[in-house]
Amino acid sequence: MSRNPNSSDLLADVLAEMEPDGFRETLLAATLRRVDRRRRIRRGRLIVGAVAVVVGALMLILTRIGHDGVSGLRPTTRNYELVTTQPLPTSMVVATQAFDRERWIVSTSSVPVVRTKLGGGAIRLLNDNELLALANDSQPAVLVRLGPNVQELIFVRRSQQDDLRRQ
Amino acid sequence: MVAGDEAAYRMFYVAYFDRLSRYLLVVTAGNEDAMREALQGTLYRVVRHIRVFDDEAVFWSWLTVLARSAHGDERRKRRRYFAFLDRFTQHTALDDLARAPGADDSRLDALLAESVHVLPADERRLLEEKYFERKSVREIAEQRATTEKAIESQLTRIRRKLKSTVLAALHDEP
Repeated sequence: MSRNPNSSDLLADVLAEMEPDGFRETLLAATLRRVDRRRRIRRGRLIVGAVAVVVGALMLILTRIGHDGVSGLRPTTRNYELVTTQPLPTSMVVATQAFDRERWIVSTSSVPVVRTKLGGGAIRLLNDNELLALANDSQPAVLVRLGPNVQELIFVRRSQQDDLRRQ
Repeated sequence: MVAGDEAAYRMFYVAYFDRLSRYLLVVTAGNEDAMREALQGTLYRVVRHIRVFDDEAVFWSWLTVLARSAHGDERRKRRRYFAFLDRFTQHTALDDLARAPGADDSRLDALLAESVHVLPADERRLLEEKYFERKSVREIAEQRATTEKAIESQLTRIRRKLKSTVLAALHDEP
């Protein structure tokens, strides 16, 4: 039904009288806020949905890889464990054989056994003077102490003997 | 609007604000406060439930459904004890509106025409010059040898008188 534009304008102006100030603008602003909030909620739902799909796909893929290993094939369930064996190479087999009679080792007295025993005093250590007394004029010797229980017996040449005396 | 475009909502607001206001003014029997509350509820419902329409008449019909729903909710909030009776009377009254698209506008036009008819002759003449002969306030003021402000003041007073008369008629309608 087409309305008279003149009466439409009059009616619009009549009804707008005593309208609260800013009512139209306030209502428009409130409506647009709702539009914006709804748009953000819708966008958030899309993002959450997309993330859920991606996570679900990743979990599915990882689960498959974890179960199947490299092949990626899903194994059939088994209620037994298969164990396989194989023979050792000949070189790894340890075998024994009987010695020939000639190889037998028998404990006999054919081997001389040297036994020692504590000396009964026949051997004794020489002291320094006794040691030096063994040296003769033809072979003079000098006993040099380098430290406790460490000494050297040096045989001196006759040509150096006079130098030593002087020192 | 379905995509949440702000510019689209602004266009919708400009195109349908007055029409929805008039519709709700009839629905609320001239109660301006209830009309404004229902109008706000209607717009919120539009944001929540908007979808694509191929026909403008279908779109307007859908808007009227939302408007009645918003008004009904507001009434139920205020008068819960008589909710059933309200729904019954509202349903009966709104059925008439629903059957005739534009019935709200034609009813308001009719009420307005009756109100204008009972105005004093000079006031009626002033309205005719402004709204039907499309004269500017300045031209009217020059013809009457008065100021523009005086003419605006008269027009405002006449419009308020008409509004009171129309709203009273809406309120008193069975």
